[in-house]
Amino acid sequence: MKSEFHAVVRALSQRVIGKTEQIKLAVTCLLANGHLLIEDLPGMGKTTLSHSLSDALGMAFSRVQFTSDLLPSDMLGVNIFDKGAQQFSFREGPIFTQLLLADEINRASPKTQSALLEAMEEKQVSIDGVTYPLPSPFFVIGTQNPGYQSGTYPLPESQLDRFLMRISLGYPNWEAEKAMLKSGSQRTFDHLNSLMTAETLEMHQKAVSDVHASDDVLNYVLRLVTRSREDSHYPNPLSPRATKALLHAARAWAYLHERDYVVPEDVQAIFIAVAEHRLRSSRSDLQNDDVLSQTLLDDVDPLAA
Amino acid sequence: MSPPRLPIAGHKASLTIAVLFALITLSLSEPALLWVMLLAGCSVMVRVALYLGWYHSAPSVRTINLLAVLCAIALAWFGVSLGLLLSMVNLLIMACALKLMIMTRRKDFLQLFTAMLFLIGCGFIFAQSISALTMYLVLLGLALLSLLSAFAPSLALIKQLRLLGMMFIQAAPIAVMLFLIMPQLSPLWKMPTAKSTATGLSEQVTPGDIASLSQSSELAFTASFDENLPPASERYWRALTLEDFDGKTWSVSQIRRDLRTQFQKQSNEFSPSVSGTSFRYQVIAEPTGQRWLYGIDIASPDGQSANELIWQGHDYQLIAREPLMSKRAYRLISYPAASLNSGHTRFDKNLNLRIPESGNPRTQALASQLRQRFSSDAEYAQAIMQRFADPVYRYTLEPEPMQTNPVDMFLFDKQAGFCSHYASTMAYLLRLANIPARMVTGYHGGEEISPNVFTVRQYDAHAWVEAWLGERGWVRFDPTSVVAPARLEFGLQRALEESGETINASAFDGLYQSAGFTELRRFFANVDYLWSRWVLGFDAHSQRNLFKRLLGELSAGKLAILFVCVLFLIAALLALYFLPSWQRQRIVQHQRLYLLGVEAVASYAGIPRSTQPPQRYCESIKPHLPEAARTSFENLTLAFIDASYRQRASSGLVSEMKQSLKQLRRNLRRKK
Repeated sequence: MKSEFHAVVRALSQRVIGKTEQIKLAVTCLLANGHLLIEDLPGMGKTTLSHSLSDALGMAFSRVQFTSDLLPSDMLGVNIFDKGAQQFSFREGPIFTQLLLADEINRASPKTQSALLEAMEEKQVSIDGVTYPLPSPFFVIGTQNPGYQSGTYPLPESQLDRFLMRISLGYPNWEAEKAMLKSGSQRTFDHLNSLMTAETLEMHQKAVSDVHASDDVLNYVLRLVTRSREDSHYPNPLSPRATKALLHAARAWAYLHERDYVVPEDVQAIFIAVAEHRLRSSRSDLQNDDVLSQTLLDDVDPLAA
Repeated sequence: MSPPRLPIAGHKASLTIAVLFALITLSLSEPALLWVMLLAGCSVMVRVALYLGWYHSAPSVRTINLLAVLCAIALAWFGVSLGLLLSMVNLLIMACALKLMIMTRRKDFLQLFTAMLFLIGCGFIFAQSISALTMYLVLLGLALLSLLSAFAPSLALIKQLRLLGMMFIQAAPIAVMLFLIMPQLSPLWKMPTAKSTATGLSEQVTPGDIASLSQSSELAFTASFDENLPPASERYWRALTLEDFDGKTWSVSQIRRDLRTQFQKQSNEFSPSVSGTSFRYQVIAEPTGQRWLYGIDIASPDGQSANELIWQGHDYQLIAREPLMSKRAYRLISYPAASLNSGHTRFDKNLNLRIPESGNPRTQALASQLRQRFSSDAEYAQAIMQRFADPVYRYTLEPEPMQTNPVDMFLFDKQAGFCSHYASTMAYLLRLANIPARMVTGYHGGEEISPNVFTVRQYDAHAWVEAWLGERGWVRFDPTSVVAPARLEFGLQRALEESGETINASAFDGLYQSAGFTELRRFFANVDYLWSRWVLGFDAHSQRNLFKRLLGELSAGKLAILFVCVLFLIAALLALYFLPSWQRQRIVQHQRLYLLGVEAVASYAGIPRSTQPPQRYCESIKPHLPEAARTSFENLTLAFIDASYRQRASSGLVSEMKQSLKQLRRNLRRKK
């Protein structure tokens, strides 16, 4: 693993104990310049993870707690009439940051959700006909409670697609939880030292595109997505955007592991995180098991037939 | 495991090959037997019905076997009279038809495809014109298209066509080179003896026959002159000399024929004495199934190859040693000013004085009456010509039938006819006056399609008279020239226009005669001529000439170098075309080696790879392997990963992998 990122992952592991794999995926997601969706029950460390991530990567952080009465302007910002200057001036909302934690995104109304997702896609905000670019880098970490909880608006498939990865932390194991108890809760006081600047991160992001993906890897990715389209077992086949996302995430994973070429293992490592939320249908009862993507992985041979 | 079955209904490749088969069979309708064609038609219907889903299973193998036995017996029965080549062509069509009915597997399809290629080849035995070439090229394209759609059914038609076109273009230079350097072998089979319907002239002329012939615009031959052209009025192309007359019909004399056979046995060939100006030319004769050739008097073969082909008859006729079953090119040299007075003159004279004892009394009376007035032979002949100059004699292509005493009827009652009528009458009158005379048939005129190149068509057929006038030998008289001078100067068309007739009265006449159309016709005639001259006419002789022009004086060493060069060039072209796919194969080879290694370790440890990627499988199986095997399998896996996923030249990797694989197998065996 690249030493800078190794340090980041280690630091984060001390905050969110026993979830190294998920932390690595989260870092990969940022490295691949994609937005991350964390899906979990309350109290699993979603907020801790995102907060520590922004600290460690040296990014400006802000947080929006989504509720059903949150309006788009609460998040994006408003034009306010300045009496002194006798004109309107724009007051930026919490979205003007580098890392935005959109907490419990599925509690907000669809209107607010789509305003956020539009900003995520365009990396800019339009208010009253004026366009304001968002800072760079710009990441959104959305957290979501599983859909069966009351008072939620599950994100539609088309919007889930905007998140490069979806991870789920899950309950920590016995030792991890015990270690957490021993260390005590010091989240609010303990500010993590930044291990990397936003500029370095951007440089690494650019380098990810140069990771070589051979024809065999491309064919493997294509076989995976084609399988999802041909087999009626999958309610939502993978889109070309998903194909691009898979390859880019695999490149980032390979880059994180200090390889300048992609191997099928990279694709497999990120596959569940990238593909599962796209494959699932929101209408079917949301399960937290990663059945669909796992079956797909098991069915398709990385070596050409 | 049984080979995969082809889908039946809606399988495009099967339908394409069925259509192709129908087209080829139609193009081979001449050599194919009627019942074989019917069988082929049935099989195509079966295939179409299967394609449309009217039936869901092909006929059973047992049915087809029974049918095959019956067909084989029938073919054996007909084959006796057909000869080897035609039987074989029919057998091939029959076999294809049967195969088409039971085609269920890809193997069947491939066999059928190969047989189609043979059938297309067979087509060229029977037709070699450029239009036939175009047709068969299209059929070949269709065959390849069906093959393509069998292997890549999901490819769009336009892409298939583009691929096909690319491959045709790639194959063209190789085909040209093979055409130029492959030894020109003589065919292994004999062509059937005669075409079923002989076209063109005939060895017998009953005036009235040529009427139908004159209307055909089929090509008779093409002549290209080296430099000098004979004047238009001298373009009398002799084909046949008819010396036997029975009162109605002129025919080739049986005595002459027997004599010729005898001479041929003794190889006593006629060599007339020639003098005066000469011109050289090449004739490309269309197939007639007959042996006569065309030449302008006095014609003799020019050069060794022409000598081998042509026998010169004592009646100045040129005879091919083999019947003209396909286009034949030969070179001639003609001496138009020389007198036709050599040879067995006494025999000739006696043969050409024979007349039937009775019949045509009025003509006999006229002959004796004329003879009394003109005692000189030449004057007598001139008097006959004078008589025909009388405007009561008309030129027509639609004469009334003249059954009894045809010469009398023609001369005194009808007084309208075409060249054969006049020639026949004149020759008869001459014989009656004890002047040796005979009828000559052939062609007159022709159309100049490009400088010095003439096409002569069937409607240029003509008949004229030769009379023996003492010292001068055989002298040509053409009574048609006084009856219808336009016929000779401007061709048949004009002559008929003057007499108020047309060749083929149809609405397209105006179009046919328009300048643009004539130009187009000339162009196609010229293309056809060039095709015959340079492609069909490319034989062992011209091949040797080509080599000489390339290499100078020929020697075995130089030839060997040429062949090696051409072969090298072909190999280089092939390599160029196939290199991309070979490179793809090389990567596949990596995988093959790796999978062999995987197979070895999996059977040793009992853990199959299933769908694990290489690195992970290596990790998971390592604990189950002996120490030495572990390293070699690791090396194998790493080399495979390098080859498949890394951006690195993969030259040495194959050998590296082979070595690791060998080590791995040895280590595993030792542990067992």
